[in-house]
Amino acid sequence: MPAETKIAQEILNAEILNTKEVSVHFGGLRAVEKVDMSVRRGTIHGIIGPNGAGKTTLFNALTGFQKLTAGKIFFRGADITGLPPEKIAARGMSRTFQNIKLFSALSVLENVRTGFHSKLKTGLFDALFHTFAYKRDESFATEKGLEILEWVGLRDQAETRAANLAYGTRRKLEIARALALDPDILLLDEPAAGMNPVETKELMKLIQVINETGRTIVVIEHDMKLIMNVCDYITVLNQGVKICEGPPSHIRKDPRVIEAYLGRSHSA
Amino acid sequence: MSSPMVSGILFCRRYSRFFFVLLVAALLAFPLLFPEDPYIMRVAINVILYSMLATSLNMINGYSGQFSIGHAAFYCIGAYTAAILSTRLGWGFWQCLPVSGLMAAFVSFFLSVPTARLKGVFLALCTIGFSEIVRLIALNWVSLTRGPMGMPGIPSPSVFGYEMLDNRELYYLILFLCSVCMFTCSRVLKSRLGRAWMAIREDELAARAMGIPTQRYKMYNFAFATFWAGVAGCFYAFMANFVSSDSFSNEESFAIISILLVGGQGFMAGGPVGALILTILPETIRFLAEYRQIVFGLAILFTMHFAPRGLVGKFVEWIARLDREAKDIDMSIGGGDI
Repeated sequence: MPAETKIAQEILNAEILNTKEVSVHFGGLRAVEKVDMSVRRGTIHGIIGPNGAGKTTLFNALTGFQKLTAGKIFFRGADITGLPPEKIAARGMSRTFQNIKLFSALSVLENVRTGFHSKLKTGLFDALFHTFAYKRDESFATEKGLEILEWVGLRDQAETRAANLAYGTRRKLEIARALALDPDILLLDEPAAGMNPVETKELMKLIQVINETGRTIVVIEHDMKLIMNVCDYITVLNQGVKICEGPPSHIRKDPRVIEAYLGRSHSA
Repeated sequence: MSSPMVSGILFCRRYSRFFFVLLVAALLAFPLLFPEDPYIMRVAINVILYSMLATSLNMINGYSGQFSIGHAAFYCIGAYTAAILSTRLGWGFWQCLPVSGLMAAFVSFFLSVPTARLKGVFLALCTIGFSEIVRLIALNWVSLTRGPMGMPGIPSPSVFGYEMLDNRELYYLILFLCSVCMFTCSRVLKSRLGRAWMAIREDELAARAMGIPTQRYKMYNFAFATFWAGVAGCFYAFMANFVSSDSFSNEESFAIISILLVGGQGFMAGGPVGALILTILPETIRFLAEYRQIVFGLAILFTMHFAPRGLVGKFVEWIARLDREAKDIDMSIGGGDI
């Protein structure tokens, strides 16, 4: 293999997100305990585990919403441990929430436009006098926002209030809003929760399309069909501890995973 | 029942620009209708002054979802800044105006920085305490503010050397200031700053996930809003020619917040509508003038019960319902054709 291709391959496979012995304790409860995880650039990485396994806590820790008890987090090679969520978001890591958090009183388009915050530079002066910078920023946000909505299939509802959307559509909007940050990595917390099979199928497609644009995706999910079909790599958590990781074919057969989900076999 | 109403609404919407021009014309022509009535002009000035104060508070309570009930503090700071600068240093109205606003905005950091992490009732309690502290400082710092004696001898505002003594002239002045305030607010709300504030109001965690440094933006929000309260305070000082700390008690804060609640938080028209009703109501029913606080309390109770989003909110809901009905009628007509 020529040297350049090798380097290119290495860059492609480089780890975009890395955790080193990340622990989050709530008093005596070890919600996340010494989790080492690495997410490779360009992959779809699944995190699964039974209820209370610490998946969402790990997400919150990665995105700065939860202080770590111990450990370090590296994003694109830089240490982001302890940074506030807004700084991490501006660096290119965006997320959705398990319990959908939209700006309900705002329109669908305004929700997405809000996501461009760190991309725009309009200051007070620009806003007051509608300077060139203001006009450029606003038209950028509108055009890009409509583009993203088109992409996820919400263009027709751009003017609808977010609160009036159907449940599955709200999840979609949350993903659209997260995409406005133009993230390198997108963290989805149970995107298929409460969706019907048709919506889930659409979602799977959307996740793959987003991934094809070169964005890395980390997804927490209970829907095994989605996880097994979509993910390249899976990390399994149980009671805060990483018990296993690997490609879906490997996870499917791992006895520790089966035990975590179904319990120990008596005959064994 | 609704089709004439629906067509009425559509008519109003189509000609909304025309109605706006009509409103502006009415506001401009108003003093000409009552040339010899200083009382009516004083009431009108009060309505507009409180519209401005409520609009300023609306930026905080209505658009960034913070909860301040001590807005009189910044009104007070604006008024005292103007009083001190004009009586001690001989500054004119137009020099005092921006400085009063900036002073109020600057002092707002003393409130917003330590309370950046507080929300809801906790923040509200701090704002009320802060406003009381500001009033007590004004009352007790005798060497600067003359304490309980108040500060008399503030000149009237003047434009190009022409002194505005007449109520009609003061009316136009406050109308101008309030228009500038509302125009500025609406422009800022339509920018990245306003979106950030509304995002914070809707969901602070989501706002942070969108890359918005929420604590900083809450401070900007306080500074921006209180700037206008300071400007209103400056106008008040020059209008009344006298400033005293008891004009800025908690009662004043409650008046501003009642106006906003009755009018409707989070709507640009909320402040003016509330100010119109709550200023005129105690005036028209003269025997109630003594019981302003009771009128305000009852007004809040009634609006909270019948129109929790304020009168403007109620109106907007009503329009939305008529819109839906209009759409249904359209659809039923379409269905009939097939």
